[in-house]
Amino acid sequence: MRKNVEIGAVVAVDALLSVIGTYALLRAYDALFKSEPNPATIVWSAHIAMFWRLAVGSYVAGLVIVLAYPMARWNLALTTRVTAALVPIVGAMIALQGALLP
Amino acid sequence: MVLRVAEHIHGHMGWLSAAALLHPAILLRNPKRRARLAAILTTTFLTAGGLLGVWIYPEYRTRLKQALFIHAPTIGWLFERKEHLAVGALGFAWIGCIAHLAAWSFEDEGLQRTVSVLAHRAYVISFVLCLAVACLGVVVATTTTF
Repeated sequence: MRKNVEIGAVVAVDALLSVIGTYALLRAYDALFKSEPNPATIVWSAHIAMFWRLAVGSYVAGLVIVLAYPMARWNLALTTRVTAALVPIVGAMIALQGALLP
Repeated sequence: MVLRVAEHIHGHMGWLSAAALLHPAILLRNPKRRARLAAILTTTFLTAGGLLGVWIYPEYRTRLKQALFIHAPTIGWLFERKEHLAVGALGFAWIGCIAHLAAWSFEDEGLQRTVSVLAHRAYVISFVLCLAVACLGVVVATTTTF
């Protein structure tokens, strides 16, 4: 039971990190490589890009769970350390994207 | 009228969330410190504020976004920044909460410490992002409202 909590927590953190990381990467890609219309010229659009990015991030989180769960079962210490190292990296990603590539 | 009230509540919750996040960000500097209630309440409060923002957002796009970008594009882009950083603030608060609540389940002391440090870092990142979001929110709210 205790082992399941340990694995579940690490996998959940990985999943959340992947949502945030995917969100930052998708927005950075859109800002850098796509020619977007000027928001001042758009009256209304059914496509809410922010929700779309979160939906794609959730999908990626599902994939990450499939990968992280067996990895955590195989070697919990390694998975935990990799997850801990990813926290400041993903934090920097969303901060830089939010500040520089709105 | 409802949207205007909701927007004001959302803004105040943003500042209160930043203040609340400071609590675990300071308390959890010590990896052995337990602050379950602070972690749960802070994350719940931030999530409630975020959900209110998600509820308002489609109406903002319909009613305000175009006019904001026509009259004050700089402020419009500040609002976009605010939304991106808010996603990070919310996500990292959840990461901090999950890590802090689960840290004591780890049998290995080294891993327990690693997860506790992870929780602290996540709350610090969430606090910094939330503070930026709250400041940007004030700038936008003084320019346009429902």
